[in-house]
Amino acid sequence: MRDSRRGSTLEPTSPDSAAQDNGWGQVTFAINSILQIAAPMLLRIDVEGHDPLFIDFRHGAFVWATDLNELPVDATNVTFETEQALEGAPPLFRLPGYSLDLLLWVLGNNAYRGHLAPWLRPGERYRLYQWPNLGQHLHEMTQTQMLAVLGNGYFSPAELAVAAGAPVEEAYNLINALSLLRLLRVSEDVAPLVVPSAPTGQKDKGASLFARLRARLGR
Amino acid sequence: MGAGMTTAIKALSEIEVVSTEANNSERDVVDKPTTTVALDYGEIVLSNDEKIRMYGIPGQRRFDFMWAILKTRAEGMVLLVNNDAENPIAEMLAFVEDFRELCYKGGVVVGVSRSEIAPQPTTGEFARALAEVHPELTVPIFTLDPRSKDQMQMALLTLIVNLEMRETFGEAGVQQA
Amino acid sequence: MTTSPQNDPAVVEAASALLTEMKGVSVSLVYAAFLTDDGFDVARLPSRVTDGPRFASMASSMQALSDAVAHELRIGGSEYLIISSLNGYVIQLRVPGSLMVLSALFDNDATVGAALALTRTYAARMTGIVGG
Ligand SMILES: Nc1nc2c(ncn2[C@@H]2O[C@H](COP(=O)(O)OP(=O)(O)O)[C@@H](O)[C@H]2O)c(=O)[nH]1
Ligand SMILES: [Mg+2]
Repeated sequence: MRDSRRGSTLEPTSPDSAAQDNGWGQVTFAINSILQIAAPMLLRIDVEGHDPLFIDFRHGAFVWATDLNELPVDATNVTFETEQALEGAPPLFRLPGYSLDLLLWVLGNNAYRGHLAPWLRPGERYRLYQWPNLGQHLHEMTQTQMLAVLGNGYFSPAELAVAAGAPVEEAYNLINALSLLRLLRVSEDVAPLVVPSAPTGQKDKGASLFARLRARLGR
Repeated sequence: MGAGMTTAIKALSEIEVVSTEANNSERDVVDKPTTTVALDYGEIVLSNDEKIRMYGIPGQRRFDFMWAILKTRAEGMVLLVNNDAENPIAEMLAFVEDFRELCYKGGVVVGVSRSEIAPQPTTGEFARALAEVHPELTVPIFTLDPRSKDQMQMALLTLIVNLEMRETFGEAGVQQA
Repeated sequence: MTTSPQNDPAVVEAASALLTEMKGVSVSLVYAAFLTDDGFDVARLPSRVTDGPRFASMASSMQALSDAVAHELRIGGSEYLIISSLNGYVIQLRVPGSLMVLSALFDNDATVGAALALTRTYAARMTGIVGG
């Protein structure tokens, strides 16, 4: 078993990752690399048509004039520069800024458009060890459902999708986001989870309480 | 007291809430005129023969006999922690101890309220403190405004799906690890 | 802001004196307490009873629940509350016009009527002291 925050490869391991890139893939990859080595870095990202986005990794914070909910999923001309923060250098912008977690959630969920992030390896299984703060992330109930699944065992993205009744692309997106947020345990050698009965949380008497309440509340 | 439990039940309930407010004689602790001394009760009706019954019970330890009554009957619990209180993490840990069984069957969601007033500690800090004592527990912990119907519904749905997934996968997941 | 009753020495002393007097009148009185609406002990008799604070909290919950039931059934505010059991009964009522409750436990030697009358009298006496 290996902690997802360790490992220091800076090269994409998935051969087709470039093909999936919507402009954000490389930036997200760079961000993940910096997080992996916990380096005291500064990052400036330029997206055409937007003010620059600044990240100060020492403070786990970012600033951007653009509302994250408007984040252009397909960005052309995304360029970025990293810089090592000098010892004792002042923050890159006025703190507190925004929590970097907000950006990681959005990037993780969008950067690889339904494919596994290049720093993750096919064949791995994942288990949630800490819930993201859903109070601060825009999310869908399907994501909550997948999180509840992941809190109970190790799943590959495909297994997760089946267990939660979600499209596999969404499972990949969520795993990417959780990995970026350092909320996963990763294992390459754990066996698939074997569930004796129906695996979707649905009892034979029909839809689960979750499904019924969800329908009732129209969510 | 002051975490927003009464407010939360009102946000969720479809019926007029039954409440048991009494004059608050501890204005020095939480400055509000009244406090819940037995329970708040609300409902969401699912069908003719099925409803979700919600009880809000006071958090002050002197009312722990009410906890005991509900503990044996409740399927799940949204634990509201006032982040603006003296030591919110210690409060959460104490309740987790008291509702240990419910926690281990996936029946607890922690809602951190008043976080816009008191942003610290963060939900990550709550989670790490909990993991130190209960490394096997993966409890949904998130910031929550009990005044928001939308957020309270989200919390309730999270609680229910967590319970159901725990029931479906919990055993197998323990074997797997 | 006014001092809450449990923190007001004059009120605590007067409440204790009333309970002592009450006990002198009825040998069936096993336990009695003045408590605040939100469940704090103001005075109790016998004072050495250790779970007095717990009883006060429970009594305030019962009071609030009976009020809630009375409200729900639209029968006006609840006036008094009786719990009758094999070996005795609890009579509880609000101190009129105040934010306090008097709760008393009697053994079966007293009649309910006599016990209720006594508890009412002393609740009213308390009103005379704290105003109402
Ligand atoms: N600003 C803010 N106020 C809140 C929040 N949660 C609850 N409140 C307010 O806090 C007060 C006390 O809430 P109440 O429901 O009576 O708390 P209870 O003692 O837990 O039942 C009410 O005025 C609520 O509107 C929150 O997250 N933020
Ligand atoms: Mg309340």
